[in-house]
Amino acid sequence: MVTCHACQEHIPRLLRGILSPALVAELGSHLGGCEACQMELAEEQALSRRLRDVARYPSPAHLRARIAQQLEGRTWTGIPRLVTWRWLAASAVVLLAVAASALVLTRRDPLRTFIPEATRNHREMVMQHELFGFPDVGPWGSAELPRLLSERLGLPVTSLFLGDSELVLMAARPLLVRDRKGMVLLYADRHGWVSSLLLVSAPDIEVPKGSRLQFGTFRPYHTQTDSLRVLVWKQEEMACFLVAQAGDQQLADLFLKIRRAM
Amino acid sequence: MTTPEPEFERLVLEHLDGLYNLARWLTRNMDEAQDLVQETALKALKARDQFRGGTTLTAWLYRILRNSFIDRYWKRQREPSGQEGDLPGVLGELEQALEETEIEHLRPLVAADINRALKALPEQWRTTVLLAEVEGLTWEEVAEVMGCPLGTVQSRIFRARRVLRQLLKDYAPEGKGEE
Ligand SMILES: [Zn+2]
Repeated sequence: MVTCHACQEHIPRLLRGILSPALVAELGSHLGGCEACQMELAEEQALSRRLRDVARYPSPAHLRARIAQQLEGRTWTGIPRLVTWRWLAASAVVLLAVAASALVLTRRDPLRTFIPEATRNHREMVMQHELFGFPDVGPWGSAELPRLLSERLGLPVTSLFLGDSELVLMAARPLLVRDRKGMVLLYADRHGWVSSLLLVSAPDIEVPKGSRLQFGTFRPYHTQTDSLRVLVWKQEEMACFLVAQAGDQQLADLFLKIRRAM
Repeated sequence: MTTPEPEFERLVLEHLDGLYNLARWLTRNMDEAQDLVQETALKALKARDQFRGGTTLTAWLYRILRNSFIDRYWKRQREPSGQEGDLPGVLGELEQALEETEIEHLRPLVAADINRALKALPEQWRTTVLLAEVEGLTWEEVAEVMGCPLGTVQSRIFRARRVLRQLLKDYAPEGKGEE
């Protein structure tokens, strides 16, 4: 028996045509006798039709020509004509970083491939936060997070820092980092400074002995990229990356608060 | 493993319209969108040995584009803004206004509401919907682009569709469909 709730949950998949024939038949017989679900289906179909009307910005012809030229010009060395000077330095740095991480770091040191991922996720979370704020921690309450992490993502977490009056947990998002399940949590302090904590399954990763900072009894690995400080430590099979834009004292306070709660 | 050069080029060019469309939605600016697509193509070319069989080229390209956008956003927010008078910005906005007008002529008026509703969504939801519903990526590919589990894509799509429907109802003229 299909309930109305289950039926309505399936409707977007039904419209996408990604349900098994058996389930489609089952939904069909429910829909035949249920006015509420028929209404829901009609509304969803109407939305799909309207989404097909969404403006698709046509790409300018000269852009295609330039990129085609660029892709052909294998020995490209000069300045890409279209890239405006504003972005030039930035993209050069990014290209270098991509090349460097691909050539040097990937094989030798898995930890180093995760640090750019952690800073990227930090940036993404901050961007979302700045552009839209975050209405909530996620579809689950923050109290649910440790259970979600251990049961759904298989991460060895029994407790987490869930925020206090000084440091608020703004958001938590499950994500994939190099095909591994993980979660990123976003904290904001009273002055609006935002920090993120990335947790990811990493039994194969070892944190180097060098480059450690001493905070209380803890000695996390420390590195810095651009203006972002990154602290890395392991808890059982899990690697933790704390990313923040912070001075030494701020960083110590932040780390201790989060680390002691775990 | 590596895709031969001309084939790779052709595939990248095939995705240009979709890449540009997403770039426009992300940057909301014609110039920046072009820069972003160009940067994406360059990065794809340089890193094409890293393109693995596990993902589709479509997902890989969109992922490069979106990550590049995030990096740019970050840099711009954190660099002191230049005192260059921002001429490119002003020109860009003018061009954009012209282009918007053209697009308004090209499509039925009714589309204005859905565009407005999409613009109101958080970027992660909007990009998810655009890729899945407008660009026709599979949900698995969208998960690859967004770097999140499939379940997250599904829940974003469900929630975004709810919000879109509500927004479209809010935008509809008073009493429409009631009588
Ligand atoms: Zn029903």
